[in-house]
Amino acid sequence: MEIHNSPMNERQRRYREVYRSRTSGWYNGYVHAFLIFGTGLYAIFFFTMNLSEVLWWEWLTIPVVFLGGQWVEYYTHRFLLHRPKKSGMGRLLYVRHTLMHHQFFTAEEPRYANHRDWRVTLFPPFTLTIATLMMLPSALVAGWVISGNVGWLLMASTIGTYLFYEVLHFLCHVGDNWFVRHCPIVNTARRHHTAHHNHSIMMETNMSIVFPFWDWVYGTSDLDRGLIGHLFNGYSTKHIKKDLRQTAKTPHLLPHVSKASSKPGPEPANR
Amino acid sequence: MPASKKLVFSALLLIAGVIGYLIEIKTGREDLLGHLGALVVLLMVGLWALSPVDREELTPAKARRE
Repeated sequence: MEIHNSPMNERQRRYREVYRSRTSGWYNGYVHAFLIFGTGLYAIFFFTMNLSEVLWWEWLTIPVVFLGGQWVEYYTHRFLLHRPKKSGMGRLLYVRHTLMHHQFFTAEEPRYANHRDWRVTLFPPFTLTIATLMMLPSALVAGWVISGNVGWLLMASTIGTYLFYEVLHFLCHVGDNWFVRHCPIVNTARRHHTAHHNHSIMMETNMSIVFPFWDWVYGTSDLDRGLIGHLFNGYSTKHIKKDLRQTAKTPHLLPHVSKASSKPGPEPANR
Repeated sequence: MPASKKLVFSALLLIAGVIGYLIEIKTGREDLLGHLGALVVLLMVGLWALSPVDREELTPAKARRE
């Protein structure tokens, strides 16, 4: 089943068709979503139940982990998911993201057709388990050296940051509606991410997948405005840079840099 | 993810569960042991669920050939 009246080109349509034909018939997006969001929320509930008499400075763990998590997301996306490698995990990440996710969803058609397409954006459920295990040593050390509350907050914030990413990325690929158009942060993420799906800028622009903080810090955003403007830009295309470099190739593989006149980034799916 | 790696992560998850159990006992939060057990089970299900969906990669070139 495909979206009617979609502006996608024949190449994207064909890719989506073949991709779907190779997905197991029993795959269910709702089960996939439950395994991630249900388990993730339950983990946060469990970790926060262990908190007791939290001091003001212990709460600072949340913004620190959130911004740190956003940086990991930015760095991974920019330097692993969009950098071709010949073998190993690097190759796997590049193929799954640049050659698969970006073929299935483009700036012209970034929407799911139905719940079976959720597989293309949601991480495999084992990601949550591995993220939990990876943070455990840090949380144990923090709990021992700093305080028990910081250890539990570290775990809860890590899972919260991961779920924040999953929710926003998911909402970037749903059809337009009143909520996603008007909800702050969500509408900003949708325009930001849809612009990133433009093949001519995807290798080096809007590399924060859903929350443009680190794009603003590193100057890799397609917007020319301050931090607050970046975070609450919404669907506006008023501040898009006029000198965006247009290249579908990996920056470090280019022998020279060619500048082309800017084409404004696309608006989120408004159909 | 290969089953061998999942077995390793399963073992690590069980060890994490034991550590969580010891912490809850030490901090006097035995009332949360049920939640801890449920969380370990959910994470274990997540580790193994939907694995057969992860088929081989589909590059644009491969899609054009099919």
